[in-house]
Amino acid sequence: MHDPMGFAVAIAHIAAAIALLNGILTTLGQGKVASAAVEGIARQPEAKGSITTTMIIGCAFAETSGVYGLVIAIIILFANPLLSFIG
Amino acid sequence: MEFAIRVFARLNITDNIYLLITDTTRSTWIVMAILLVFAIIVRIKSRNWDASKKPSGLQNVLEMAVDAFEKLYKGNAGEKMAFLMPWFFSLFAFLILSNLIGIVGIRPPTADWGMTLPLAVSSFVLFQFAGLKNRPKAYLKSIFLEPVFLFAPINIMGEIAKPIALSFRLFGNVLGGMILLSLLYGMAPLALQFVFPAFLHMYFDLAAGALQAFIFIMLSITFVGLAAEE
Amino acid sequence: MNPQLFFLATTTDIFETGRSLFSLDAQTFIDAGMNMFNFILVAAFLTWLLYKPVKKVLAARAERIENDLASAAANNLSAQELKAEYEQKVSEIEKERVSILDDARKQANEKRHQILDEAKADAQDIKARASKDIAMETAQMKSAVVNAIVDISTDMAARLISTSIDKSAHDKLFTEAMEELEATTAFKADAVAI
Repeated sequence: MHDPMGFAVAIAHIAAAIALLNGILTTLGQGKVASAAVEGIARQPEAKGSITTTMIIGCAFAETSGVYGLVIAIIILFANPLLSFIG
Repeated sequence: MEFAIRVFARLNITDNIYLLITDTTRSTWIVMAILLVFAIIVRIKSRNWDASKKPSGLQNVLEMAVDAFEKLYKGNAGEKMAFLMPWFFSLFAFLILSNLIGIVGIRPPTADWGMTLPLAVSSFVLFQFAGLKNRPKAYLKSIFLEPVFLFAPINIMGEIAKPIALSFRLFGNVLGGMILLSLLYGMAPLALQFVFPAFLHMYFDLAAGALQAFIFIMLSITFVGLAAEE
Repeated sequence: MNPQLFFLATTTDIFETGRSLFSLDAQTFIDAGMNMFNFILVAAFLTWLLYKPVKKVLAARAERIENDLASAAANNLSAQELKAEYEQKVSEIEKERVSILDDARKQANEKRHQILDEAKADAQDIKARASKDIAMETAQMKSAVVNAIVDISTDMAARLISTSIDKSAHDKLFTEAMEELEATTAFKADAVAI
């Protein structure tokens, strides 16, 4: 612990990586949404437009947690407010 | 940190109080100027427009865009809130141009939470207004008394989460793409910096930018429609 | 800037290093306010300069199309009426035609029958007259033959009386008379055949 700043930066990078891990589940969820949409379009090709719109909105909702993780990672890496307590 | 929000001017109001003009504001001004020039050109050209003739060129494109947007809006928000259409149309134009302007190397205004937050808050205000205007009692009941009184804080949190999620979704997507491209330009070897970034630009600026603008508008419109109707 | 005031804040000098990417400090909210003002300006200008003219043209076109459609519908209606009227007229004319044709046929039939009857009557007349003529001629012929026979007999009797009677003369006379008689009967037979 002779370099608290370096330690904090290292921990911050690990934390950012962990924050981005929720991208796995986000992507899984988006894949599920897209597959369901493809099934729907295959069953009812005439409803393609509305299904696509709904899918995009569903993807956006599924993406929310992923984007939260991304924003948290960005904050941890580039705008970490806690670093000021060390330096 | 090439992607940080730099401050490029400082307006001193008094000795201690000053206003900082950031990159975001400058980019917003550029987008505004482009939109304004375009709008003035349209306004001048629109004097020669004749409804009885076949539309061509700019008129055709604009009519198609407005028509398609109207269809989208009325399909999702209903006829009752049609008076908000110009606002969302302007928002759509502004967001698309803001997201696409990253291509020419200008910092996208939407890669700043200070830009996306007010837009999301304005959407929030509009859909609360839609709910309170069209069905005040039912709308207040749906927030405070559904399913029981105890759920009111959760419902309120849910309402507040909507603009936060909206703003963060746009901000995170645009900023993520921008950071990736900045890292590529800042850290990748020189050989990789010529043709390869074009594809990334195509995805992060063109595809994702247009898509995120569409999602922002679409979600706002849907929230308005949900609030305005049963 | 007081870190206690905002719950996440940077202590770095904002003017030196640039604003942080994300922070809940006063500058962010001032920026937010400025951006909001800018956007409201953009929205107002776009609505006034871009959306309204396009909308006006679209509305004018929609109205024009509506008018065209309405006039087309009216035209269609009047055309339908005209068509129905003409169809009725045509059917009436057809009926009339059929009735005229029937009348003509009937009249022609009557005429035919009449002409046929007249012709038959004429033929009957002619036939009757002809048979009457024939009967008359037959009668005349009969009386002529009778007269001739009488004449010949008288003649024969006169000759028998006047001339001397010898066997050969008598025979000759008889033969002549017979021939004469045969000639008249042949003539009579011819007359009967006629």
